[in-house]
Amino acid sequence: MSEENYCYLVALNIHGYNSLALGYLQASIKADQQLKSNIEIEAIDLCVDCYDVHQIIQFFRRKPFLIGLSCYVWNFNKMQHLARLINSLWPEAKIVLGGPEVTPHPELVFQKLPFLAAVVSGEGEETFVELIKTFLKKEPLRKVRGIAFKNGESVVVNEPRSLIEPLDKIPSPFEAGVLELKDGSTYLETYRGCTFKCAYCFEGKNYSRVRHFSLERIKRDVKLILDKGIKNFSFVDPVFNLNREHLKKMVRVLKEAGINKASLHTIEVVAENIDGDIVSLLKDASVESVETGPQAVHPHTLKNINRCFNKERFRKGVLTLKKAGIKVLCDLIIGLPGDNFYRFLASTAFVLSLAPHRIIFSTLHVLPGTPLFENKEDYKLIFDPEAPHYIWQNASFSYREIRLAEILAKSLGKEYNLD
Amino acid sequence: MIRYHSLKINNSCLNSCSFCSEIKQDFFSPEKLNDFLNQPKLPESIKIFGGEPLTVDFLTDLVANLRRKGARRIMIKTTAAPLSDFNLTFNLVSKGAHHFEIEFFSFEPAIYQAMTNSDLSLELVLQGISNLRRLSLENGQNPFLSFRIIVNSANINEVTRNLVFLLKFRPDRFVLSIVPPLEKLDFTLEKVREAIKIANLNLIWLQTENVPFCLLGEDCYHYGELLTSSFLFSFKASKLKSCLECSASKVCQGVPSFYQELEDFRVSPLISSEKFEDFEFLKKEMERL
Ligand code: SF4
Ligand code: SF4
Repeated sequence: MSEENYCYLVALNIHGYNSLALGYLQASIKADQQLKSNIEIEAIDLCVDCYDVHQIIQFFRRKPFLIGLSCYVWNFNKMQHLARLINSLWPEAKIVLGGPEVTPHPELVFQKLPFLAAVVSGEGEETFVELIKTFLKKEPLRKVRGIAFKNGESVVVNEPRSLIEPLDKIPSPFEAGVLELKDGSTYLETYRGCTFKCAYCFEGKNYSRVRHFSLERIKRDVKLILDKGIKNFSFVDPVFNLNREHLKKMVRVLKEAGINKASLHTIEVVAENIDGDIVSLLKDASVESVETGPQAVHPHTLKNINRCFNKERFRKGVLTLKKAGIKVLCDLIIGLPGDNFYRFLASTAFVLSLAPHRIIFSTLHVLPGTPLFENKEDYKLIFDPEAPHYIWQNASFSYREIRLAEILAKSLGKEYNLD
Repeated sequence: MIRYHSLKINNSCLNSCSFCSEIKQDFFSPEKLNDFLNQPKLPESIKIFGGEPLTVDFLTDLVANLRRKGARRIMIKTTAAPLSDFNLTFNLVSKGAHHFEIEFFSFEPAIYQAMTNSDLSLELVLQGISNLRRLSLENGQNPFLSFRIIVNSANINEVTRNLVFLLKFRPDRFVLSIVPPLEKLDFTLEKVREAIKIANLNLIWLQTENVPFCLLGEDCYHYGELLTSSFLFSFKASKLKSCLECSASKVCQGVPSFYQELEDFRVSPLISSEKFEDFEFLKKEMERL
């Protein structure tokens, strides 16, 4: 193996998470016959708030041939800083960016970071493997689908890559043994895409349809997680109870894998679809806590963000979950178009009346590539063009009201959320 | 905004504030407390007050029992002076008291004592507050700290200086509680507005108490108080003729009488609120709380 071909993959995660994306990339590279004997790969998987860029650089102990940075809304500022620093220290190294933050508008990324070797758009597993091979063979990048690169002064955006199908084609990071599994911060994905199309979310927009990993694959992965002694883990799936029949099958598979030895936390559910049968299934799957909306309750706001919400069914769903001893975490977003300070208070009052385990307040991120971003003029959305793209004001929610709502939420959140 | 179930456990207080109505109310005898604890389901949020509840010797056990029996949030309303005993502070927080609401009057000892009709040492009060914050350094505990600043003509001049003084304790909320006697309405309201600005500049929520919406004006966004128990004035209030046309009328109890006695008293009802519909919408949600 050439000393020259050392690759680093960097993820900067929200505290308490590990990067599943890096796991997929590592597993895909390891599974490739040609690459596995030609390059060495090392993952630098850190908490975004725990390290500054000069500390992150300390993890680079060898001269890099290629560095892949996994970019999300919460880490993009630091990733840009890191990319500039890496480029100064190792100008020969190829720096590649991927992830949802750079997927929608690669041209804009090159404006800020013109030295990048490539930007990967969309699912990265197949694209990244092909891109490394192309670099190694010193072939032109034109044929690599799903990337953008610079040719002289212009940015070339190649044809997009089709969605990976079936998803099982992606090697399992659990089988590859590339993830450091920890209690509470181990996550598994059972499908990609979302049938809902919430206007602020990238998931439903990015993937045109829902694709599932096979039940056999999920069972194998869960078994591997449990065999490592993990007692508490979760799924990154946007909605766990998307489809009743599928949920039944999932729960059967989880039980066969031995889920009763562990518990599942903060599983995302649609509360309106919860009834006694679904709760029994969740109990069978050892679900200890779930996370759900409503994000907002005013009909006008909900229409703008394209969310279905049925107040009475939502209430019933939450109460049914609570009665069964499943903790419910409710999410509210500050700054949505159509909302204002009083409507936000009404959402808060509604959620408080359900007495959930926790209330999670967050401020709207206007994410590039989402319908809200694309229709920003319609709602007069004014937001930070830089990540994390926090809303500053919109047609109905003034700058001052948004700040007040945040201050109130900070106080109330600490008072309400105890553990 | 969280509705706390009140649990008054004694009558004796370290202060004797002339405006205090709590001291006269009945409190839970040990037998009644026992019955309360033996209910099949306790309320999730409970506020313990007195008097000065921290002088009750079974308080730590009571907190532990309430938590054990399912109460999640325990607020203690106090002068903070007894918290100068670090062991007491540590035990209370360790047993599950999460929220301390400290009644505060002034950082000037003379004003503090005049308002409270007591010779309580301000030094002890400040030591008590420091102990709550010391917990986060030494034990990783981080209780919710709110200051209820009582405001009347004795301290209205330095209400903002009081606020700034308390910032060093990293409060999670201020409550500005306006009580009689007052001298000038306009001056009082100006000071209240200033206090709201300073708190918000420091990213701290400030909630007003005993102030009808119309006095602060819609601009102050204090419909939020509708959701708190502080909206339920502890002073006699009455509706005026002009209240009939007010959009807040259905939920407002009117103007406390001590405002009505002021020379410059006048009221501008909230009639043309463009947020009227939102207000109605909010009211419906509140009714479930
Ligand atoms: S927010 Fe959740 S439900 Fe809505 S589109 Fe995104 S993933 Fe789907
Ligand atoms: S009902 Fe009367 S006292 Fe209450 S806010 Fe309206 S005008 Fe003021």
